[in-house]
Amino acid sequence: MSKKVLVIDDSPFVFKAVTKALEGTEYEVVGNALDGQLGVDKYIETRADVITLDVTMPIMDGLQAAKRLFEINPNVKIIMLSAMGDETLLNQAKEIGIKFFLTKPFQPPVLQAKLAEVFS
Amino acid sequence: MEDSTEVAVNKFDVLFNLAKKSFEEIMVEVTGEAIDAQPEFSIAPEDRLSLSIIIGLSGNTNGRILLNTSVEYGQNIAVAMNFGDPLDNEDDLHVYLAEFANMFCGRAATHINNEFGKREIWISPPAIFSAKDLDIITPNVSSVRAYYECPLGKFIVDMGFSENSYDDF
Repeated sequence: MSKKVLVIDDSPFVFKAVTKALEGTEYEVVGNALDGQLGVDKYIETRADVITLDVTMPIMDGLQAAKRLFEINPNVKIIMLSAMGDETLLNQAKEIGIKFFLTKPFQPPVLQAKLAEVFS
Repeated sequence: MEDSTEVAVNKFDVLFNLAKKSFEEIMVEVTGEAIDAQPEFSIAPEDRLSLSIIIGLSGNTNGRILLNTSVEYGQNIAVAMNFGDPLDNEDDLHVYLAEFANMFCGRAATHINNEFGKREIWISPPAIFSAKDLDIITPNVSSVRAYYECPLGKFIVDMGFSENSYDDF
């Protein structure tokens, strides 16, 4: 049975890239959301097994969305997938509970390896 | 002892160099080809660059980064981002290039914030201008350009920074 992936990112490109990168694998992209609030709603709807989460987004940014997601499910699996990755930001994300990080751009094998790490 | 103007100039040099480094890193990671900045080159009128992607920078330092290229060269980048496959439709070009600029400026912000040990700058969503003979002028911003030419095309990165002066108001 495939594992469900939810993409939360204000760039439609990322949804396309993640979907393409996971073609033919055990992962299935079940949805995307263009801001943090929509992403939280989409997670409630899909109960995805793992979420790729951008940081800089309108309405609700990735860090705020992560807090909400952990309130909904303390065991939710999140990969912070962002163009930004400075120490201050990473520390903020870790304090919220995010354990997995990937910096854009990514190549398909790198994303697949990160997902394998999440489920190991 | 350095005066404040000299300190600012040195700081801007650091910012420019980190932004250049970021562009070169992102190009390698997206296309697999290393590139270096070239001496300033002139662009023939028929090759006039017609795509500009602008990303604003805010924080302790304000500014903007402009990436100038042509539609043809932009398409080369987009195909590389699409893992070598053609785009599904022409409208995707702007989506891909906006994300390319976002990745480049996000990397620049990462390097700059790590260099200064704090949240020095933050990036805003990209905007794309597509036009013939487009000039974008940002008064009161100290800017420099870096020129890149590689098999994928010609790219000009225009980087402008200024100290945040909102406290003056």
